[in-house]
Amino acid sequence: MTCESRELIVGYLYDELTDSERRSFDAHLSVCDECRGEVAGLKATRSHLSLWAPPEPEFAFRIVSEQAPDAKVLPMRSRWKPALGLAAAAVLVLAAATAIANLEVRYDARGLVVRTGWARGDGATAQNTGQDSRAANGAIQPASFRSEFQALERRLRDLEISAAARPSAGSLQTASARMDDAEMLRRVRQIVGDAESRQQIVVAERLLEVMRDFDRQRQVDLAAIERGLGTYQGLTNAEIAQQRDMLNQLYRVAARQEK
Amino acid sequence: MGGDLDSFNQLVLRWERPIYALAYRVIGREEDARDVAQETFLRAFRALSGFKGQAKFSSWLYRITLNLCRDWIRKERRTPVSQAPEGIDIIELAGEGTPAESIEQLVGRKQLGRAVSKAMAMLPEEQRTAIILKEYHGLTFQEIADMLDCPLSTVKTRLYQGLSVVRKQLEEAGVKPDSLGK
Repeated sequence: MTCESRELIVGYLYDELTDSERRSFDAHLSVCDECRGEVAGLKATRSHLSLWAPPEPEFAFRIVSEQAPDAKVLPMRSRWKPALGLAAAAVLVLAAATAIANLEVRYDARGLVVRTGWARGDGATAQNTGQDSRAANGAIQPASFRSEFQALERRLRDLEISAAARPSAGSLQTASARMDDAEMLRRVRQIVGDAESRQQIVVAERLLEVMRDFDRQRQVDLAAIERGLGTYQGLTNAEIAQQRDMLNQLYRVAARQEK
Repeated sequence: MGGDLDSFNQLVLRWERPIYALAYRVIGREEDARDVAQETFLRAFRALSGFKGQAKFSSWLYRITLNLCRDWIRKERRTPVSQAPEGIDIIELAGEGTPAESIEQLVGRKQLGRAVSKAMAMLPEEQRTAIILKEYHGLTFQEIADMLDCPLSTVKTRLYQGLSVVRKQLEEAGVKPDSLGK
């Protein structure tokens, strides 16, 4: 425990004393080992504190717009609630379906190999089990995406069943409204199927394009390499021949001189 | 309104680092500190019409930040942790030092920083906040007292107690008082 107050010590440390307070404290420090040691220790601690720096994040936020303060939210009419709920669920299903895609690209001794998540291919180890399977390196095999698509189908079916089974809610729910739900689900299913087909076709076309470009470039590169090697070989042979001629010339000159 | 937005974004550019640094040191988590900083500027923008210049703009921002940090601590019901990574990447470290520093000095500095971070995380929130505002943001005792709505003597007591605890923690971690070679 030091003889001077903590407030005085802290004030001295941060140089927030008045002139007279500081002179008085300086005089005290000259005769008090304990306070002098305390001040020195806390000064060292302050030096150490200077090493504590936060990491450097990437700042990217800016105020870009301001929402109108009195924006109103229109109320939903109750009889549309079931249809909108189903539509929201169907949109989520659609989003999940379009997000399911896998592309594996490998180039090895067999050449360029490309597989999509929906295609059967070499090395597929799960055959319609509907279960995820993993290769030794941990990559998910194509059969898992089939199972996910099957899960989507089941979900759509459940939505259809629940839409058909729902009793009429209120006096305004009519048979035509129930049909609208079923029709919507049918259309969503159609969209999911079309999206998948389109995606597969687009991906396949692009892959074929990539493979053709790759092969074309590979042929060009191989030809260039061969030409280069041939040129180099040609040069080497010519150099060898030239050196041989020079050596022969020297030999003949040397032989004449010996005679 | 477009001009006001541009002007405010200039303020954001000027204050985002100090606000983030304050939040990081109080709550000790990088991602959450960034969220707090972002929320600080959002709230400040919305409440700008109510700021009449009765205090420094920086003090006003700091107060918003500290309130958000306090809310975060209460909501998470946890004490801040030291998030310094365990390993030291020598290559990355070499880019940070001055040409006059050896790798040993750089590593030592990094380890010391980590020890300080751990010691600060052990402090009660009010002591840690007082030290952060004084050491890293240069506020006077009176400014800190005004911001935290407490007496001047309380601020000084918290500073003294906080510094003493950090000093003891560093000594127990083997950090010598003259380890910076000063």
